Amino acid sequence: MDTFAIFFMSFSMLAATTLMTFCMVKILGENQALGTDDDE
Amino acid sequence: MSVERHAQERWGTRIGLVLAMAGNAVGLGNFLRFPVQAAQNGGGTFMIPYFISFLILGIPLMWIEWGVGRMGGRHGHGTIPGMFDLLTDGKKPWAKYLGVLGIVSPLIVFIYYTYVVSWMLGFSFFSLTGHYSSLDGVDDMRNYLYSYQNLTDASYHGSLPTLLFFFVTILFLGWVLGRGISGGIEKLALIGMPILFVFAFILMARVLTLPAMEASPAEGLNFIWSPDWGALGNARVWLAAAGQVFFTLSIGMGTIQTYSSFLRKKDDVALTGLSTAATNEFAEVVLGGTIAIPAAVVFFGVAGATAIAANGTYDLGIVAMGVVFQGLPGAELWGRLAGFLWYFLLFIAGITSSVALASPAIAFLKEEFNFTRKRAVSAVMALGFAIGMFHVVFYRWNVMDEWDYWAGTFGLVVFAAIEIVLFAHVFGIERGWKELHMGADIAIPRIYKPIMKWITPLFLFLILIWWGATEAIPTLLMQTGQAPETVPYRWLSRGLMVLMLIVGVEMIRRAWRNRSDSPETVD
Repeated sequence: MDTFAIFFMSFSMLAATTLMTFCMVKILGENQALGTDDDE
Repeated sequence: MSVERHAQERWGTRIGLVLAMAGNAVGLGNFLRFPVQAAQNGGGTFMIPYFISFLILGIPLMWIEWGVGRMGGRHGHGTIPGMFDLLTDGKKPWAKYLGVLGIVSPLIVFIYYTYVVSWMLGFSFFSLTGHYSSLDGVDDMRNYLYSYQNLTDASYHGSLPTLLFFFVTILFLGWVLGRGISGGIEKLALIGMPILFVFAFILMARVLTLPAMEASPAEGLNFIWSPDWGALGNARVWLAAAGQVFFTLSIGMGTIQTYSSFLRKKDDVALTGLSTAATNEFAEVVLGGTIAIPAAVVFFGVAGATAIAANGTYDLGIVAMGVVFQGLPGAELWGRLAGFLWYFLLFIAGITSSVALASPAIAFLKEEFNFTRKRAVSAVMALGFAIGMFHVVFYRWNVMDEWDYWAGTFGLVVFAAIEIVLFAHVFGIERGWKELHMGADIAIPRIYKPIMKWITPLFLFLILIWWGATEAIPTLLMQTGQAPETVPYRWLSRGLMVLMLIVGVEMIRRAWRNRSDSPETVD
């Protein structure tokens, strides 16, 4: 494979995976349940 | 009155909400459109404008749509007309009429998209039962698909399978939607999305471990990612990247707003919105980029895959992949199973988007005309099937292209441009910023305030100006190479879409006449 192709592929996949992992870890770390109407 | 009525339905869990929103965004485009766009627009270099568009167009619009939806739901509005009315504090009567785009556009897309989704159900069945296993090569498989799409061509199929799978798909959608937000849409996402990811990982692993035939899997990846630096100076490539980001995230539709209207006042939208965008990007860049095109390159070589990709996404996704999975090394049964995994993956990706596309019309009938959920779902499904028959019968005259262009492409940009101006300049960016941060689990970077106010609208208007300067007149007059015999059917399509818009505007007028409460002011 072309060196730049490897770079672009790795960078793009890593960026997408990192962003999703960050968000999911943060969400799973927060309270899973949504609020109740009483909150309002 | 409508606030209590709207509050009767809520999302059950946060992960269910994220998966339902991701299901809305992850569709056929992630697995079929993205790799073709990347390969045709500069390969690896396509990702530079793609990520820039994601950051300055996709993410801000995603947050805005989540925030506007939650605000609408708080005031009893699950659809765009009411939300636009709120963004103008009820002081601009015309705003709600512009909101017709947020009901009619997704409904139009729902109708033809669901028909395409039904093909995937049909082909997953044909693959599992080995119905096309005797076919040899791309040309035979293409004729097999055309016979399925053309009711009068009985060379492989009579008209019954096409109608039957469409009807079953509509029935299934009606069943899911009839069970409500938490009991239907959320459950579908909680079951469907993990299955989709598992199927995609299995297929990705199989494609990447294929033995070299016409080419190796590495050459397939090289075909997508190899950079063409000259493409960076081409405006068309930047617009293609912006368009792909737009469509893949399902922004500019009205569906995200309807889904997020079922949030509570202090439910987070900043992190949850970002999570759905991130999940969609993972499905697109990591999974979408490593299945269809690399497999096609392995089987047909770079030149063959280029020719297939140039023929459009259905040739790649249905025709080429059907041949690929039949030709997999090993027993025929494995090929059938792999084909089933592929088509059923596309079916799940499509069906989770279809439920979202139908939701604004259902919410509108429920809230503004006091329909029960079951009655509203029945009405929308009946309409979807009836107008869908227009596509079933006239598909060979390319009517779907016309609907997709106006509602599924141009309409989204127009809608998003209106929405962001109302949010950032009429409602005001300071109030909007406060709204987005209500109950937020993360702080949105401050740089996004000027981006939402100036950069994103500018980007959208540049797209519209470019369209006006280069495409508007020839497209409106159908001078862009359409076959002459398709022209009457295309005009008929336009007439139907305009009629749907007129009916939508009239229904908004009646809905507001029926509302007894005075215009609301956002707290």
